Amino acid sequence: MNDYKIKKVNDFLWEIPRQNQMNVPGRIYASEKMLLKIREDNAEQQVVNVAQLPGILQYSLAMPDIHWGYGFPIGGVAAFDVDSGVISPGGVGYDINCGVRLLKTGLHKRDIEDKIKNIIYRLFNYIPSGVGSKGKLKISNEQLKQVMKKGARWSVENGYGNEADLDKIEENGEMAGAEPEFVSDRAFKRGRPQLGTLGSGNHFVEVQYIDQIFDANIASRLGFFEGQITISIHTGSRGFGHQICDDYIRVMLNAAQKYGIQLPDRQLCCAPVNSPEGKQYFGAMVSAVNFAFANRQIISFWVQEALMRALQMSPRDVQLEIVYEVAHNIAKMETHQVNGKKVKCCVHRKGATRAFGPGNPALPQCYRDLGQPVLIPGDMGRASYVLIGTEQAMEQTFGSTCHGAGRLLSRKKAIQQAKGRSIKQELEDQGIFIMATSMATINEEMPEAYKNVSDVVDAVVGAGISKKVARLKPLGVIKG
Amino acid sequence: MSSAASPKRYEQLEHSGDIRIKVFGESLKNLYVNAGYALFDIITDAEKIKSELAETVEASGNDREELIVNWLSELNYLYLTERKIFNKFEIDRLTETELSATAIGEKFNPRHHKLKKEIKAVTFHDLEIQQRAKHWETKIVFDI
Repeated sequence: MNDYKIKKVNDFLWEIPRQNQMNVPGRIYASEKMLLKIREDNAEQQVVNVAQLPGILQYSLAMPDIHWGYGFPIGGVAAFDVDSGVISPGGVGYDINCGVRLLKTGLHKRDIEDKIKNIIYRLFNYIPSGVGSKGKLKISNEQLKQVMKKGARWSVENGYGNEADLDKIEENGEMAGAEPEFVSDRAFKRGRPQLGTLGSGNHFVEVQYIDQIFDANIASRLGFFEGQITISIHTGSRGFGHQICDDYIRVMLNAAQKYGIQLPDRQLCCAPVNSPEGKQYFGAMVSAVNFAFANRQIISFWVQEALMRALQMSPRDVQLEIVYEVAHNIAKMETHQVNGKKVKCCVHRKGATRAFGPGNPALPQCYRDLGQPVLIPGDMGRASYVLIGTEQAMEQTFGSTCHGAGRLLSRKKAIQQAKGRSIKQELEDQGIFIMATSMATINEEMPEAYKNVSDVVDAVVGAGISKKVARLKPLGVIKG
Repeated sequence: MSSAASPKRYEQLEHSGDIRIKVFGESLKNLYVNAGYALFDIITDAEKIKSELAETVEASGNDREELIVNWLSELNYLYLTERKIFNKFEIDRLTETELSATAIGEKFNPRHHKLKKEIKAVTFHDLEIQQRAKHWETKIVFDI
């Protein structure tokens, strides 16, 4: 553990002053209580390491769900000047465009309470999940290239969902700049069988209900009502993204040497944004971003089928509709105000969510005056939140906020604590029905393994970088 | 030597995000062997892998550390794409930057093998191979 002097900025913001090799100070969003935990972990050192990279702007930022990852911390945000800064695969992570889609229904909790087991059972059967899961789709390399370029649009064109869904996805589900020629054969091989799969670990599909509304006006604009059934999908680009990250870490290790970039940790390897290596990584990363958008669009379609079958209802009765979809492992070219000037930057969000404030042209017309909906999944026992982006986020965090609860216990500790208990039964006693391909996954993902998402959300709301809209409580979950 | 059971081959360390292990080896060569064993022991129960097929695996890197990550990544790739699992490794050639080995094992079969965990990637985080008085060791973080 390293002891850096930390200065309090306000109740929810702490600064590690610039020292030694740091180009900018580090800033951690957290309550005092959470900060103590964060400091016990190695995460603080990772914030300092990122601050040493060339061209980093303003601060190396950490959200309150920060926890020890590798290279960049999970819960980290770092923006680099496009002309003098770098792009780093480690700043995005292996699961490129891991993200969350929130769907709302026209159903009330009382309409489905006695059918929840059947719904979960159907979801589990319709959506391939678990380690090594292969999809029901068979696609060729040519089709995979189309997926890379078109993202969720590819899925819609192939019968999964509607054109209208695309408006409510970050980047409209089709990020520009994909370059399939910079994607390796290995990534094709790993990715092809995995389109339309959920994966394992913390990925899930959860049936929830709106338990509390904090901002009635925004909630009504999002079409929310108390007791409403919603569904969250949390997954990413699967083995396709993992392989692209893995390939480009190697490219960047050599590139960092070539461009004389000093690395405090190899996993931070990077190249100038405008270098050939930087551009190639960006083109490959966007390909994986679009794969993940396509994946969630397909899974979303199966969610609708499973619901209709389980409830014996028509689409008109279920009224399943996308609220919004966010990415929380991504690098993007954005323009932000830095010291009073507009600067084009490459914003890395690794376990952090874009949270643009009202009026931003990147937001869909229907939400533009409100700000961006932000989806924060919690652990499977407690709650999830819908937040909205603020102007302060634009000023302080390059329009970013937290992404989830953040792990508290290692998987090893979680399994030790689950010994002799049935986590599945404990959750069922609380009215939450779970199906998973592996019991170990349920144990590792038990609620106590995570920080309380409400504390995480209170910290970002306290700091002003997001506003609370609604809280969602789980009724049933499928896990890998 | 690769299947010697007595000295500890690896141990799992605390890590809040992913899996972190410490690998031990009597020699540098043995460290690479034990790292391979640890990888498959995370994926499945490595002791239960039978010797039914052999595969030549080659890896290279700018230094020992890159080499060990690339070696493990090659092995993991063989599991991820061809479902091959191994528990014996004969290292035919080892330099600071290159390795050539024969990996011995079988195809993963869900009826005989328990799938414990899939490894997304082997990371370079905080990686250093160290020579101690009587052995070699290194810590590796796997993204899972």
